[in-house]
Amino acid sequence: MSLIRLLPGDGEIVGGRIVFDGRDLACLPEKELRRVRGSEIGLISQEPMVSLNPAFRVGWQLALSVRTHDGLSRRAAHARAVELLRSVHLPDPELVARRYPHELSGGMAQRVAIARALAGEPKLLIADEPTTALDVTVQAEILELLRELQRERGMAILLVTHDWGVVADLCDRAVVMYAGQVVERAALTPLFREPLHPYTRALLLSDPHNALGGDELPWIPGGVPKPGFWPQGCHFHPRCRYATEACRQRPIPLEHPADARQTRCIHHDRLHHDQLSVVQ
Amino acid sequence: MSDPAPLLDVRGLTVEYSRGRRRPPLRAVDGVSFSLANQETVALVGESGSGKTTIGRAILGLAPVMAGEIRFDGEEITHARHRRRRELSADLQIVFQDPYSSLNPTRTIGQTLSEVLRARARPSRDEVQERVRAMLEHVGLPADAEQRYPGHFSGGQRQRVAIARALMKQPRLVICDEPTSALDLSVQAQVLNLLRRLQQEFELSYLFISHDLAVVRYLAHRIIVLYHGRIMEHGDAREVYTNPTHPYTLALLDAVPVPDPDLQQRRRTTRLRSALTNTPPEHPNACPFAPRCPHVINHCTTSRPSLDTTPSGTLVACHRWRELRSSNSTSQALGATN
Repeated sequence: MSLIRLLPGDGEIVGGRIVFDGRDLACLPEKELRRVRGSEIGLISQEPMVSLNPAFRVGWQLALSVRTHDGLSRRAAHARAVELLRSVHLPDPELVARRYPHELSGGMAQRVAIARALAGEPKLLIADEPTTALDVTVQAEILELLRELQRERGMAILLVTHDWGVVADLCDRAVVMYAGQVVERAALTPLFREPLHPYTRALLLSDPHNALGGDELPWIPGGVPKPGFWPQGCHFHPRCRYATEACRQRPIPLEHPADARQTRCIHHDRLHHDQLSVVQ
Repeated sequence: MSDPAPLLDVRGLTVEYSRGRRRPPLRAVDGVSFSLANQETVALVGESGSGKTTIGRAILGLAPVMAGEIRFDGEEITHARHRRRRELSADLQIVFQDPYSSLNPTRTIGQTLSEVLRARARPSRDEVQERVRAMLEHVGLPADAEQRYPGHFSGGQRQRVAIARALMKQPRLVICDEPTSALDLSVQAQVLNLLRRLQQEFELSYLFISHDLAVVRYLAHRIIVLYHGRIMEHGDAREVYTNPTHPYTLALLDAVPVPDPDLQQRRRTTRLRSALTNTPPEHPNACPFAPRCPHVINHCTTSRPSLDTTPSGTLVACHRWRELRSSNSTSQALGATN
């Protein structure tokens, strides 16, 4: 959320830079930032129903977004709204435009939310768990749609998710986060085949997809610490089976064990040796 | 499958919700039959609107049963009276999906757990305390959890509390309604392991309601796939998962993205493209899946398929299962025919 400076409550960016298309969004004035939001960076959220205003028709809401970005006339904006609904493959977009959000199914509502995010022709689409609330068959359709839109519009997608399957389906690269830190960064195949951070590895193993029935599922003891309760040193060390004294003492920097790979772990060599015993 | 004395036996269960005077009632569950043996886990799988949660609610007496019969331990409980329901609650329990709304935030964990014991009897204070402590240990919560409020705990820990509450009266059947879908992956694994361990310790039967086929495969002995309130496929968990027969089961399995980028890419290209429409068919006797089915023929839109037994012992409600099964020995090929 900090990327487009929509942090909730008292949240504030206290350091770092967010360079988007040559500009640092972290210190851009609010007025210019508003031009970036929506028109250059689009956002779709986990709950499509919540992100739509229940009191207004879908077409009206979309037309409003269109007019904000393009300053089109009312009529032209409506036509563009219907156009957008068609581009996300909603059957009978004219009819959908006249509907209220509660008359739509979850999958349709998410398509409407995607259509609205596309209103400003963004270069980057931030999708925050876009399919978590949807049925699997609908999820497959939405992922297909995102892939198609990306291909046609040359748009970048930043997908936020906890589902390894969704990552495998849509992404080229992945950044694994734990307790406020990047712990690993890699292209998809090496990440899944040979994770170099104990957290990535444990999380992949605990996916019931990878489990063979009958055995106990591999699991990570404890829970993710809340902000403010992050441990000294490596944030993951209390739950890590590779942890040593060195992990507790000082913050762990990101290392580059291989080309285009980063891991925040000083024991990634040991992990490397362990891989074969894990993958059947 | 036909255990001599099933713990739970559901026959022809039909549930309808009234939608006002002008519209016909909504049939959420339509002629569903299955049974559940002691210490068995049966999973109800399906998308939203499939009726899986409604079946669980009907068993607990929380949904209006229009037709059919529910037997628990041989006793007919379909329309059990309030008093009998309260007695049954010792044997029949539920764990809800959302551990945030299912626990009373103003009561400590100890109060939440002990009120179950005090509901019908007046056990001594020591006895209550001992049983609460023992249960906390069983579900892997620290002993000091007793004095704390739900707000103090994470989602996974709360779900452990909800499980502990369900087990306080040592029930025989626990209905788990998506117990892990609100949890993180690593915590989900903890809770699934816990459920499995408790099943052995307490000799429990589970009716496991879920939309996640991977979770179901891990935990269930048998899987029932539901669509629009009807059983589409019913059989041994491994068989249904590895050798699905019904086109809907296959579509459901194909839609789940697997955590393997290369494999997922191959699956994507062969994946069956389902139609957008999720509307029930117009003909009252049609197969409910007909509007989305890639193998639909005229017969499907006018006649309701019966639940047939396949050679491998699974039950399938599809007019064309024989052709589909023989023409597609590998499940992947089915998607490619589209």
